[in-house]
Amino acid sequence: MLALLFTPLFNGLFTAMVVFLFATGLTLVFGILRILNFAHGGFFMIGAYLAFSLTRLFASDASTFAYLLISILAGIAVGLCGLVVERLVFRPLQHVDEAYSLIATYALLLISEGAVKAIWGVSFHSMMTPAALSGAVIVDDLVIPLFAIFIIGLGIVCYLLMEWILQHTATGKLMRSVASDPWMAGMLGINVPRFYSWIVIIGFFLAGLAGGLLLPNQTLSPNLASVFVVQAFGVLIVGGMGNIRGTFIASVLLCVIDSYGSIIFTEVPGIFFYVAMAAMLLARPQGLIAGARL
Amino acid sequence: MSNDFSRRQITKSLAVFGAASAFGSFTRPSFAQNQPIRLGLIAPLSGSQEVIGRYQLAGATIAVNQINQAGGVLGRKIELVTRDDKAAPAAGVAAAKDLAGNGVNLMFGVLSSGVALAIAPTLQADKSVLVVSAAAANELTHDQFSPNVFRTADHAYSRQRALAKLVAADYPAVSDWTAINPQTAIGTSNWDSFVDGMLQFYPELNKKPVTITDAIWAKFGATDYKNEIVQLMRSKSEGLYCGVYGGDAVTMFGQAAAYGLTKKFKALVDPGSEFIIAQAMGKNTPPGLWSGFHWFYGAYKGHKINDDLYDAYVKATGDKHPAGYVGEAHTSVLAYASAIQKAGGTDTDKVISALEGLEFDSCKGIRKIRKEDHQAICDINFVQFGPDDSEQGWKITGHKIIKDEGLSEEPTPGQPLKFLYNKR
Repeated sequence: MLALLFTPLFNGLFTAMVVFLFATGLTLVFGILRILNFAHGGFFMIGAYLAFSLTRLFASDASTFAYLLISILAGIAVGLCGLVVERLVFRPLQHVDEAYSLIATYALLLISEGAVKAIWGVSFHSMMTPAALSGAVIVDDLVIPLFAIFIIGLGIVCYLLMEWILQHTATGKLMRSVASDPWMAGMLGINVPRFYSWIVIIGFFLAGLAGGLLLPNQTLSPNLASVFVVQAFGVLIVGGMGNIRGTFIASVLLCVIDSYGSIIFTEVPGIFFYVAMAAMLLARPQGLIAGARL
Repeated sequence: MSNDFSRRQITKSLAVFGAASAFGSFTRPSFAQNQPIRLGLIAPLSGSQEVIGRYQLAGATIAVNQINQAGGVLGRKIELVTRDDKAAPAAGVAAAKDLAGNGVNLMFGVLSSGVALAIAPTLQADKSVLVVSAAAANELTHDQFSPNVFRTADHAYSRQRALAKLVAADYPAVSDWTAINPQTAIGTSNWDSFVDGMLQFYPELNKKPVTITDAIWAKFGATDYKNEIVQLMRSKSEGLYCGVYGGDAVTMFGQAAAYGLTKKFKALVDPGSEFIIAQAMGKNTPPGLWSGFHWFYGAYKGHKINDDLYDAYVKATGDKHPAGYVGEAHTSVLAYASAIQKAGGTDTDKVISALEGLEFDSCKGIRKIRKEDHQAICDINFVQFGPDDSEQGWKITGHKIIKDEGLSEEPTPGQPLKFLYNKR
C-alpha cells in the first residue's frame, strides 16, 4: 500500500530534480541575458562525457568522493567553454535580433554533437552509481534507491542555495537588477558585459555539473543532448520564463503529475507531462511566477 | 555548284554511313554496359540510430568491395550510393525518392520498421525495389506487403518464436513470464510473437502450462524507468522479456540495479540489443542475459563468407565484435548480386522475378527468399552474456543457432498475421 501511494511520488520528485538540475543553468542564462540557449543540452552532454572519461582514466566509479569531485571538474571545464562561447557567440549577437542568437545556439548544439561523436564515437556507454549510493532504503514494500534520495536532496539544496543567493545576498540583488534593467545597471556603474560573462560561465558550469552528477542515471550517447531538452524548456516556460523559483515549482508539479499519470494510465506513459503543461499554460499563460526575473 | 545527286551517289553515301555505323558499334561498347551497377543503401547515418547505420554501411561496403575484386556482376562493378534516413519515416521516403530520381532503382538497408513501412507503398510507382536488411515488423510481409519489397533478414515473428523455443528448452522451471516493452509497433510485434512462441513451445517441451503476465509498457526513449521497474519488482513472474532495447535497455538496467532487478528474475532475454548492453555496461552486464542477433560471427567459424566478412570488418575498423547489422547489409548486397546475375540486368521487374524464390549463401549459411511473401528463411542467432573480470568487463557465455523449422508463419501477403497460439 505504501509503495502504491508513495513510489510515484518519489519517482516523480527524482525526475523533477533531474529536470531542475538540468534546467537551472538554462533558466539563469535566459533570466538575465534573455538568450534561449539551445546548446544547453549539448554542454550538459559534454559535461557527462568528460566526467565519464575522467572517471575511467583517474578514478574508480565506486568512489563517491571521486564522483562528486569529477562532476565539479566537468562543470569547471564546461564553464570555461562557456567563456569562449560568450566571447565569440553571445557578445557579438547581443544587439541583433533574437532570432540570430537562437540560430547561433542551435549551431552550437550541432557542433557539440559533432565534437562528441568525433572524440568519443557513437557507441553507448554507461556508468553505475558510486557504491555508497547504490543501495536502497526499504520501508515496508516501499523501495527508494539511495541515488534517488541523493539527487532529490541535491536538487532541493541547489534550489535553496539559488534562492538564498538571489534573495538575500548582494550578488543576488545585483543579478536581479541587471536582469530587470541592464541599461540602468550600467548607468549605476555595474560592468554589465563582464557580469554577463560570469552568468554564462556559471550557466555552462551548471550544465556540465548536472551532466556529471546525472551520469549514473543515463546512458551516454551523442543523443544525450536532446534527452531532457523538451522537459527543460517545458518547466522554463511553465515556471514563468527565466524564474528559478518558477522552474523549481514547475519541475515538481509536472514531473509528479506525470509519474502518477503513468501509473494510473499505463497505456499512455509519459503523456501527462504534456497534458499538465498544456493545462497550466491555459490556466496561467504568464507562467506560475509571472513578472519576476530570476 | 550543282545540287543534283545521282542515285548512284546517294546509294554510295548510304552504304558508307551504314558501314561506319556497323563498325562503330563493334568498336564503341553500348553506354549502359560500362556503367557500374548502382545499389542504394538507405540507413540511419545520423541521429539516434547512427551507431547501427554505421554497421550497415560497413557491411555493405565490404560486400561491394569483395564482389568488385572478384570481377563484379555481369562484368560490371557495383557502386554503393548512400542516403541517410535518420531512422525517420519522412526522411526515409525522401531518401528512396531521391535515389529513384537519380536512377538508382535497387535499394536496400533500412533499420527502422517505421521507415520500411513508409517507403513500401512508394516503390511501385517509382519502379524501385527495396531489400530490407534489418526492419523486423511482421506487417512488411503481411498486411503492408508490397511486391517490390523483400526481406533478407529474419523477422519479428520467427526470431521471437525462436527465442521462446530457446527459453522453453533451457529454462523449464521458469513458467511465468512478464515483459517491459517500448510502446512502438515493433515492441508490440516482438512481444506478441514471443508470447505466441511461449504458448506453443513451453507446454510442448515441458508438459505443463506457461503463464504470461501482462507486460509493462514504457514510453519509447524514456529517460526514467523507475515506475516500470517497481512494477516489475512487484510481479510474481520469474522470467523477464526486456523488449526495450539498445540504449534504452542500458538505461533501464542501469536504473534497475538499485532495486536488484536482475537478481529477482531467473531468466532474462532481450529481442535484439546484440552487443550494445554488454559493451555499455561492462562488468555490470546482467548475468545470463540472452540477446537476439541478426548474425553472430562466432557461430559460423569455418564458413568462408562468415570468416572473410569478419576478417575484412576487423581489418577495416579494428572492432572485434561486429554487430549483426554488418552481416545483414552484406547479405542484402549478395542477394542483389545473385539476382542481377540471374536476371541478366538491373531491370526492376526482372530483378523482382529473380529475387523471388532465390536461394543463396550468406554469412550465416543458405537463405531462401519465399516467392509468396518475399521473406527470407534463415538461421536465427542468440548470444548469452555475463560480467567478467577482464578489461572489457563482459564475456559471451554461450550462443545458439536456431534453425527456422516451423518457426516462420505460412506466407499470407496482404493479410494480417494470424497468431496460432496467441489469442490475446
